[in-house]
Amino acid sequence: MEAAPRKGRHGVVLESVSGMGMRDEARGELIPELLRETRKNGGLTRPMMERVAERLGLPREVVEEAATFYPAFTAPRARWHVRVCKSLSCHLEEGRAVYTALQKALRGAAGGAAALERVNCLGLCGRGPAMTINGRAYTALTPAKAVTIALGRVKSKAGRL
Amino acid sequence: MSLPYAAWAKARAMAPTQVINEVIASGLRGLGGAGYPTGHKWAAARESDGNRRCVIMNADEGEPGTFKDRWLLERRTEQALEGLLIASHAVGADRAYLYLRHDYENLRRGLERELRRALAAGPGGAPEVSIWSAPGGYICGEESALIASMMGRRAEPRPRPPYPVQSGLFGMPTVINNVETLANVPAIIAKGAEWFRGNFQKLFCISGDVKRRGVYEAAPGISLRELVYKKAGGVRRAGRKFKMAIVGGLSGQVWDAADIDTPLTHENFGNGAVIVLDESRTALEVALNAAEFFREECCGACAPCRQGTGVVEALLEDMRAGKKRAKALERAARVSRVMRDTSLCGLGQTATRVFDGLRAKFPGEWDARP
Repeated sequence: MEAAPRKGRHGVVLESVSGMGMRDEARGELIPELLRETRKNGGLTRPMMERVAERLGLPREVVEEAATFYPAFTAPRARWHVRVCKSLSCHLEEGRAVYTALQKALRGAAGGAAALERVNCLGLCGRGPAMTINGRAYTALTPAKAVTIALGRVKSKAGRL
Repeated sequence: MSLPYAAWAKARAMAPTQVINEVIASGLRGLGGAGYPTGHKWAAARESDGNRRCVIMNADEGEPGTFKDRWLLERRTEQALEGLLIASHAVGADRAYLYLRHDYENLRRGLERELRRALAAGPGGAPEVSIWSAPGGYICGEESALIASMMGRRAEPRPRPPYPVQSGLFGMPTVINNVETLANVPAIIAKGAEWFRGNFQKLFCISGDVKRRGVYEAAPGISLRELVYKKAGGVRRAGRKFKMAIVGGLSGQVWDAADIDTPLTHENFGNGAVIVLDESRTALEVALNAAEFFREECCGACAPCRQGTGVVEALLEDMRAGKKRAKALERAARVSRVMRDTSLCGLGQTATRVFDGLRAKFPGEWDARP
């Protein structure tokens, strides 16, 4: 059974499943591929984007369009990503003090291998203030507790990217 | 105890339309905030033309104050996945996705383990299920933006129709349901629509200035007072009074002490987030936090939201600095109205809803000196 082709605003036939061009299928692989690169390397650089474009046979601007949009790809490149929540529930639990303490403690720590960000809701609102370090969640923080945890992980050699 | 995935097996023995009718009869509605009747969404996708269909579990939870989907994926993994499998059968989907925000990546291992268990327990003929890592951004929870991201585009919403149930992922008829919505489906199939209508429990996420923050189950109709005082133990700091609750997250509504006995129903609870604030908090502080959030999370596709979120935040900053407060408030109110009426998607339309609520409930707070 053929899906009826869908007409776009200018009379152009847009993608349908049966008539799905190779380009669209390759494009569906774009985000997973960019995420793999980002996770492997702690961030996304232009040469990585170019590699992905070549691998998927996509124009570079298509890759760049997505890569410049999503927080996962625009985050600074670093071995350690420390992300502190600043949304309302964590804000009410003095999340800012946690961030300020981390800012001070991580400055220059581990040769700049740690990137500290204030981010929006991590879905840990019931246990805030909260942060994640390379995806792992830490909750009910105090400034001192957050610093101990962060320095402990940043200085450990066992942690993976 | 019932066998694992017994409801899925039962659903597979039923005709898909029978499953859909049962879900329609149960009255189940979307629990991610919009409240669209689930069975009708499934029926629409089933009736759409297309040689393939797909179902997506939306686990892109990002509304501040909401953490029930994380809770469900951690502790009710089986119900959520079973709901996804039943939905796939009902809709006739051969592809199912769990759209998982990348901040929840640490849940992946548990989800994969449960998925393997499901497919081993299952009666065969299961759809192909993948866990799809979302690259971040609040806007990805909006269904047309979610689909755009899965097709390798920027997560920008598009005007509808066509709706995803007509033309979604790569043009396939696509059903997108919230985690909590799907997690309720197995009980409907196992125990029947009748039972479900009388026993449905909504998850409420309570955070902020209460003694016991957390996820609580309660039947719709529970009052804010019961939630805050009975379930969450009341205001945390001794001697402070309840000032307000933000119901439905940062895009939700502002309830003050006068609303404390109002029942929480499908019409007003949104996604079930309740952020409680005591009397030490100011309306401006809350409005600013929300304004910053929406300015950052706006995708930039339409002008009212792209410009408006920034303008509102700047005006609120002026007010905090004590500059021309009355005038700034009036301008912000005007911009807020334009955003509500002309933004392309729900993000822009609700970005200043809390601000509007704060203005209505606390009109005296904006003129005060900082």
